[in-house]
Amino acid sequence: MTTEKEYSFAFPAHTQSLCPYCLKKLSATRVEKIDGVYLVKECPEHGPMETIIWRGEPDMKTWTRGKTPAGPEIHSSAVEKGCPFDCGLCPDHRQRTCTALLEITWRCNLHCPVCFADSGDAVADPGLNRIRAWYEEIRHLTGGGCNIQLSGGEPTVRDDLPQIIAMGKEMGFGFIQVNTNGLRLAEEADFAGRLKEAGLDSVFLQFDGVDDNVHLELRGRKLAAIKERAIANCRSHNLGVVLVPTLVPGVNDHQIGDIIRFGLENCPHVRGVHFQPVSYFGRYPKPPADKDRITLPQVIQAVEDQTGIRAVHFRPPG
Amino acid sequence: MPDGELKPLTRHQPGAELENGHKGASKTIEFTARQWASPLVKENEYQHHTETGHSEKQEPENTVQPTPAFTLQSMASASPGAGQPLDLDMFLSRLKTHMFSISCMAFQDVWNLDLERVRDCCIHVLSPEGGLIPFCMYNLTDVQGRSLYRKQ
Repeated sequence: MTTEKEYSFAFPAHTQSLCPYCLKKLSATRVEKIDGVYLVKECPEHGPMETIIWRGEPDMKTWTRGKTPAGPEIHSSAVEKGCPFDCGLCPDHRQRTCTALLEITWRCNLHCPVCFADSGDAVADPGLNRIRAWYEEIRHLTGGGCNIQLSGGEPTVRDDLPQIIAMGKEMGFGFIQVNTNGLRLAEEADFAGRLKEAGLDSVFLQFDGVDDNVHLELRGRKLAAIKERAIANCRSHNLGVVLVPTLVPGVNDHQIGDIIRFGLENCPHVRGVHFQPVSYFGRYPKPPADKDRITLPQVIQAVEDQTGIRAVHFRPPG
Repeated sequence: MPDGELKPLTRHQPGAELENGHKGASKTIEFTARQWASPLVKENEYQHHTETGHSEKQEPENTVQPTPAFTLQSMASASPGAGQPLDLDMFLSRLKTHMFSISCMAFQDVWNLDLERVRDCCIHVLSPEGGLIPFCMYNLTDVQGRSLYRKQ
C-alpha cells in the first residue's frame, strides 16, 4: 500500500542508497506499510532488501522543514562519481558544517560491543602540530563559524587534551565539546577543572542508562557510580554536560524517562539529553533485524509515555 | 521552574514557506553552543539549589539539533499552567539558567541509508586525508566491515 501520491516535493518516495554487500549505489523507495515506513532497495547482484526507517506518529511526511540549500562555500572535492562517493564536501551537499569532529586518538579505555570507533593502541596519536593543521583546515573549509567536537577513540586518554582545547579556542572556535565515556573525569577529581580552565565548553557524556544492568549489557562493566562522579566533578567546575544515551531496543529503551529525569535532577549542569538510536557499523554478516532498531518517532513516543512530556513539543531540525 | 514544573519552549511553527537554510544552520550552531555549554549560574546560586534539593527545570526552547533530517528536539513540559501566575522576572531568569533540551540524532548505516538525508547532514568529520565527510558516511561500512571513507 504505497501511497506515492501523498508524498510532497519536499519528501519524495524515491531516494538512493547503497548495497550493504558491495556498496553499489542503488535506487531506493520509502514504502509505507501497516507497521511503518520501510526503505526498500534491490541490488542486481545481492537481491532485494528492506529496512524499517519510521514506526508510528508523527507521520514521516510531516517530519521535514522545507529549506533552501545552504551548502558550504568552499568545496574540497568536485562532483565526479556522485553522492556519496565525492565527499569533501562536494558542491551537491546542501548543508554547511554545524559541528566538525576531530578524532584525536584511536586509543580507548573502554571496549564496548556497540562502539563504531576503533579502540586499537597500535596507531600513534596525531601530534599537536597535526591537530593545529586540522583546525586550520576546518577554519578554511567552513569559514570558522562551526562548533567543534573532540572525539576518538576516547579523547581523555590524551594527557595533552587541555592543550588541544586551548589551541582550538585560541584559533577562534567559539564552542568546543569533548565526547567522552567519563572514566577519567570520574577518576581524577581535578581533570574537569583542567579542561574547563583550558576553555572547554561542554562534555558530551556517554550515558546509556540509570543502572548497572544497562552498562553491563552495553559496555561490559558497571558504570553508574562512575557516571555520577564524572557529573559531580563537572558540576564542581561549572562545566556543562549533555547526556548521550545509545538506545538499543530491549536494553535501555525502557529507561528513556529515567534518563531524562536523571538529567533534570542534575540541571542546570546537565544541559540536556541527546538520544542516539543504535546503528549498525562494522561487521554484520546478517542484516540487523527490524526489531533491533528504534526509529525516531518511537523515541518521541517513548519520551511522552515515560515522562508525560508531550510528543507535539518536538520538531524536526532546522 | 523552581517548583519543578516544566514549561515547553518549542517555538518553531511549521509553515508552508521555504525557510532560509543558511539562517537555519546559523541558528542551529548558536543554539547548540549556548544550550550545551556551561550554565550561566553563579557559584553560590547553584550551590543553594543543590542544597535545597529542588529539582529545577525548565524546558528548553525549540531545539535544535545538530543534524540533518531526523532529529527531534523539544523541550518538555508537564502540566502547563498549574499553580500561581508566572512571575516574569523569575521566568526570564530561569530561562537563562535552567533551559533543558531533549534531542535525538538518528544515524544512518548501510542498511537504512537514505542519500537524500545525507546531503542535508551538518555533522562532519575532518578526515586525516583531508576534507569534511558527513558523519554517517565516514563511519559507514559494508557487511564485511570495509569502510567507505575511514582508513582502516
